[in-house]
Amino acid sequence: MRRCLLLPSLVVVCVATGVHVSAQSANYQDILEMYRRGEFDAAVRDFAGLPAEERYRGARSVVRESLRPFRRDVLQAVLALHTEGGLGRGLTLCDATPEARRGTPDAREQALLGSGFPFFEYGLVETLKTQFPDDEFMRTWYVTVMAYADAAFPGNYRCYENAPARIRVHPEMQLALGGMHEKTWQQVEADGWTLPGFTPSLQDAERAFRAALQAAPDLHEARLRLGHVLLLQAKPDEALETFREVRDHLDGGFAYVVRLLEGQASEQRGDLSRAAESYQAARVMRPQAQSAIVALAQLAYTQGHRAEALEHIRQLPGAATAGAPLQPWVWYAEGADPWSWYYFGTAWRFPTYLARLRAIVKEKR
Amino acid sequence: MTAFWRVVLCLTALGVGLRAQGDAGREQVQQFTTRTEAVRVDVLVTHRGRLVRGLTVQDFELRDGGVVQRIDLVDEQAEPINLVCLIDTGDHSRANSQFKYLIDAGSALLDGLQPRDRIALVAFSNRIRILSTPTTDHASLKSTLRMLYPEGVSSLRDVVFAGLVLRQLDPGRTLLLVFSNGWSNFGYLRRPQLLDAARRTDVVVYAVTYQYRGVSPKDYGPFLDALAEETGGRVMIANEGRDLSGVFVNILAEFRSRYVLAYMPTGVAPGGWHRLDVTLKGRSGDVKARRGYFAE
Repeated sequence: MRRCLLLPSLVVVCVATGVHVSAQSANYQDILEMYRRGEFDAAVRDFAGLPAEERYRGARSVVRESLRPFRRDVLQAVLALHTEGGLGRGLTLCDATPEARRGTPDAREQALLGSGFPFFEYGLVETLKTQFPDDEFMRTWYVTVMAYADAAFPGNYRCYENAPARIRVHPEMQLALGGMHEKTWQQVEADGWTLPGFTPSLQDAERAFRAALQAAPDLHEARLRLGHVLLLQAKPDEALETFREVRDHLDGGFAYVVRLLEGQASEQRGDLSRAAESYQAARVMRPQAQSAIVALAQLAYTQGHRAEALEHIRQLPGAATAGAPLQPWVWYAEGADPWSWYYFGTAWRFPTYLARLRAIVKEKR
Repeated sequence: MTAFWRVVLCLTALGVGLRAQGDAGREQVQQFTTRTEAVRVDVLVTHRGRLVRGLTVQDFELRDGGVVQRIDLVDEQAEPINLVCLIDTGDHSRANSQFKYLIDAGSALLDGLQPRDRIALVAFSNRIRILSTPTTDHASLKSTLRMLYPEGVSSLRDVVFAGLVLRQLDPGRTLLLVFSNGWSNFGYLRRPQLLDAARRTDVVVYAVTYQYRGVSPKDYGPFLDALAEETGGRVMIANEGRDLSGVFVNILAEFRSRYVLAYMPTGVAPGGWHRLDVTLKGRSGDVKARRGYFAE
């Protein structure tokens, strides 16, 4: 379920309700009908055109419908459509990659969706595997998806086995996803799906970010991540300089996150008063977010200023509002924001991946 | 001796935990400037899985940094306890029916408290909600519990830190009870920071989790184990949600059955990390106590 958090557009899958889904030009049911009639290209095109929320809500609801009673033909059509739809997005991305490198939001979203194809399918597959643990069709289909993923994302197959090594050698991923020692194998497997594009070391990540920034200096979020990578390599001065370069270009949650990271860098330098200033700045930016408050409390606590730490913690209730919005640090650290997930390494390897993806689809057709 | 230690330990807890706070009107405005060096160590003794009761001070040996200390046994069993209860409302995968059991367990825990026991209630997902600072108004917390609902994901490390800080609102013995499945990928603090904070308190952490869909909670990793180990507490695993109430109540009973050793450190360095070793003299049994303390 945590996969839903990795991409905001997928959160709706968790709470999908209703069966019929509308869309601007076509809805999911219409697209499904197209697919059944063999109008594959049109179905894929319209599927790709659906807003992400509707796409996945539609898929889930139709699957649910097909399960009561189980109608393999419907289910098969949905899954096939979903698969091809995902691949369709990947194809779109191939054409959009130059745009993605220029950093336009739309192209970046396409890049994300294309790269996320196996990821998108995963939750659905898991649900169905649970429903039909012994069904040969499920096993076959699952293997098909895995095969696609394997071919499109080298090393992704048997990701559950490969993921630990990737995480171990990647400190930022340990930070973002939690250490291996805290994980279930299910979590590790989930990580495996999100990690294939990630670079294997902080040094590689730094090189990748620098290269990406050389090609497109205005990839501000990438610069933020570069600063983070520098921080994780215990280069606080370089990190602070990088944050300084980028912070005026970021707004919203990213601006909040850069203040938190500046605070961490200052702590690393031993400049605790400056760290406190950065955390305080973050707190002012997002009064409802709690990470800056926790950071301030922790900073005070480790200095032995227990009363001050207590004062900060006591202000947490005021930071609680109705609902449980994802906080900037959460989505940054977890990679829930599309851009961060995209930028981190995958930016560097997209053209290769997607060229292979296109070849696979052509071969399949 | 008991009264003496109670005063000394209160002064110690406040001296270490709370600096003088000037703003009037806030509860727990403590104006202690005296700082003593008394150390309190909460000890659990079991033998073949059963609690061992009736031990005397002669049954224990305590070493601070390798140096044997002259200890006293403080009779705390009749005294009220402070309970900081952290309830994980995150994790979408938890079925609503299971969540109901969690709320029931919270109610059972409240029923198990004595009138003078104080409880702070904190719910957490990807946000921390301090529902109550330490209070003896147990009844009102029952209705608060009923208003909880599953949401979001878990920021376990952050909330444990908040719980450790909240401990300072009262100088007495504090049990930090955290219910969680052990996932914590969404908090701001990192594991070393949290464990470092845990080493700077005398809180005893008990963590509760339960098996879900056949997945052993142990698979969720040793973070909770590490936290409990560091503080001399334990991780308890319920087979399923419906067993949670019993686990919660048992923890309370076990905490009341622990021994409290106190001593004035002698022959050791005044500051820094002090490793503690508590053993039994001439008896069999397993001893759990915090691994050490920071003298600040």
